[in-house]
Formats: sequence, structure tokens, C-alpha cells
Amino acid sequence: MAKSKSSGKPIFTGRSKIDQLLHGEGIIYGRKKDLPVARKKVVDNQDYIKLGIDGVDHLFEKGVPKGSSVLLCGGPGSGKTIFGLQALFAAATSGKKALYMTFEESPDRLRNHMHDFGWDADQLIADGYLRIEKYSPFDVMRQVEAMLERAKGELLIDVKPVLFPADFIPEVVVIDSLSAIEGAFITREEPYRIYLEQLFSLLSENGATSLLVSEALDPDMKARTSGMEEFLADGIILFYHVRHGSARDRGVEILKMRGAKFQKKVCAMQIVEDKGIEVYPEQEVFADI
Amino acid sequence: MKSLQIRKKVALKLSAIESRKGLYAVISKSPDYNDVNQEVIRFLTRTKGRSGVYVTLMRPHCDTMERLRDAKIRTKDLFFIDDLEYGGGCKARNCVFIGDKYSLTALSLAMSEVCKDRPVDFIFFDSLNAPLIYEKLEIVERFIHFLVNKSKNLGLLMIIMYAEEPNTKVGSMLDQFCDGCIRI
Repeated sequence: MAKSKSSGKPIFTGRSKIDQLLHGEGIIYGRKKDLPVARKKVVDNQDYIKLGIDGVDHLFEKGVPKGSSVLLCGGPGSGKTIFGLQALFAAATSGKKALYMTFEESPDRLRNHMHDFGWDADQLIADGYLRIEKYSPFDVMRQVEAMLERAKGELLIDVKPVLFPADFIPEVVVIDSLSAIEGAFITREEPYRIYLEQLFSLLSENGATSLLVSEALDPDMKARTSGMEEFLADGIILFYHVRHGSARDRGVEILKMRGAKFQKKVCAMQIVEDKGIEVYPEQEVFADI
Repeated sequence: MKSLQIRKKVALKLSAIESRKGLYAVISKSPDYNDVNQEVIRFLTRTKGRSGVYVTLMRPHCDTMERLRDAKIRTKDLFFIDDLEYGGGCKARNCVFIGDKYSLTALSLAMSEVCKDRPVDFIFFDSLNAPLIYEKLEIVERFIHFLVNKSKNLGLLMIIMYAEEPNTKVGSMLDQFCDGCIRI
């Protein structure tokens, strides 16, 4: 198994899971014993980070445990991407290295998006605290298929999952979005499951706190993702954009966060011009959630 | 009921609660609604000299201002929250326009913000009938329950106007949740 240059610890590449799958042992999802050992680090490590979003940090007793993988789940227009950008901006502003991995929108568009809210992304990029990188979901799909072929012995070259840029070790990562990656796999459900398993393991091993954007099936957030992502993630933050009459109300809820105490309620949320997301912990949402 | 009778009745009943903090419903019959509405606001502003927030859900801010002026009710001590318009054509300085038609969440947030920025003795909510057109009764019930606590937290008097409609449970809901119901 490959070892990390910095820590000397072994890096989980996902090969062993693929080997198990191909040699008949199979992966039974949803069982505790299948969770990679490294994920326990999140619970043991009592170091927390603040997301830097008004109101959200008040919902946590201490913050998000460092190294957690947190799913940002909501319907279209519910504020997931803005939440990710804002958290990343706050992290980079406080001197953490922050990486936005976009599988949909172009980095230019995302930078413009940040400027619209008054967040000076260019300065942080120039200072080396922020990176916005574009990835192709189809490259990811091809990579996973190549790994599967390699595991079967049909491909002779070694293929490793590429995640972070070689010259940039981030402390906070946003992946936008899992839904775009899932879309590239179309009917190939099993490779996508393997990819997800690997992705969460690698994120955990790397130690970066990650926010993974995931599109909900229902715009009103009455149904969520396929379920696999929710099981693997350490934390889930749900975004509601609920219609009532001719208006829509926004809300946010922390559904789970392993290793952290948090308030369990749906709070009102607004996207404010020149500010970004504001969450109101004392304000409930008067809609049918 | 004649206007003068309404004025006397409103003054009598409101005198008992005007210095209290909490949520009170003023329930009137539909034909008397406009008169009762004006007399309540007249009593609070002119008779008692209180400053407050007028939440207008029935008519746009400009219309409401005009009606109050016509009734010789002073508006200088009132700040408005208009949930009907974005305020595109209106240059009002004493109004915040939400424009989220009947979003009770946005309305509640606006009420908190407005009370943070200025001294407020009362909030006048005109009226409960409007959100009831668009929202389920259970949602409106939650909102009323929330307002009871909010009025206590903000330490002010909240008056919610309601024109009674037959065959609804709204009246009994107000009896149950509010600190008091005044029937005019």
C-alpha cells in the first residue's frame, strides 16, 4: 500500500475494496464493520473548526470536528453552492488552505459569484490560500473503470485515484457536486458506489474537512439522495427551499454530525445581497417541512 | 356599529392592556374591520403617544399611509413592514418592503430586525386574514404561538387584527394562544 510522504501513514487507495469485490468477498454497504478504520479519527479528534457562516456556528456546541466529511444536501437553488463558497472563503480568510473542486460550474463563474457577495477570491488565490479547480466527472468515471480493469488484471498500468493537486494540501475542501459525478456514471451503479467509498476514505485519510454538495431528488427536500452518501458522510446539513403559496422559504438543518453536539431544528436561512448566507438559529420556518 | 361607538369601545378595552407586554388579538366583525383597525392605531399613537411597527399585509404601504392620513391618524411614530410589495416605485423611508407575499418566516425576521434598530412600544399586525388565504391553519397556528414568545422576548405589546369569519377555528385558536382576545 502507498504511504503518505508527509506522515508516512498508509494511504487507502480503494484497491483492497475492489479486490474484495472482484474476488467474491463483496462489500455489504450499511454495515459498521465495512467503515474504513481511519474514519474513527473524526470521533477521537476533539479539534473543531468553525464554518464561518453567520448563525450556523451557533448551532454547534464547539464546531464541526476537523477532518469530517459533511454532505450539503438540498434542492436546486437552495443555497448549497453559496454555503460551500462562503465556508471556503471564511476558511481561507482565517489562514487555512481551501480548495473548491468543481465538477459543474467554471472556476471563473464561481469567482464572479464570490465577488457578487463581496468576497475577494482573487486576493486569496494570489496569496495561496484558495484554489478553485475544475474537474471532469467523466474523467472520474473513466478512472474508476480503469481501476476496476486493473484490479481484474486487464490493465497493466497502475491507476491511482487523483484527488488533490500535488502542490496544494488543503485543510478545507468543497466538492461540487456528487450529483454531477453520479450523473457521469449513469447506469453504472456499482462503480459509483465504489468511487464514493474511496472518495470518503481518501478524504478522511487526508484529514481535510470536506463539504460535499449533493442535489436532493425533491426541490422541497422531502426526499433526499440515494442514501449511500448519507451513510458514508460524517455529517449532513440539509437545505430547504419550500414553496408555500406563491413564495418560497429557506431553511437549514443539521441532520447529523458525528462527534459533535448540535441543535436539532430547522432554522430560517436567507441569502443576503453583499453578505451571503445568514442563518437565524432562533427563527423557525413557517412552512410545511 | 357607529364609528363613535367603536372609538369608545376600542379606547375602553385597550386601556386595560396597552401597558402590558404580550400578544393580544383584536377581533371584529367584517363590516366594522376598517373602523376598528383605525381606532386601535389612533388610540395607541395619538391617545397614548406610543411608537410602533405597522405590519401591513392587506394593502400596500402607500395605500395604508393614505388611509391613515385621511383618518387624521399621525404616522410619524410608525414604521411599516410591507409584505406585499418590493417597493419599486415607493420612496418611503419609514418602511421596509419584504415582497415575499405572505412569507411568515420573512415577516418574522423583518419584525426582529426593525425592533433592533429603533425604540418600539408595539407591533400592529394588519391582519391575520391575509396569511390565512395562503397558509394552512396549522402553519398560522405555529406562527401565532411563535409570536406569543416573541412579544415576551422583545418586551412589547403585539396586537394582531382579525376580521371574524364564520365557520372557522381561527377565533378559538386565538383564544387559546394569545394573552388576550378583545372582541369589538
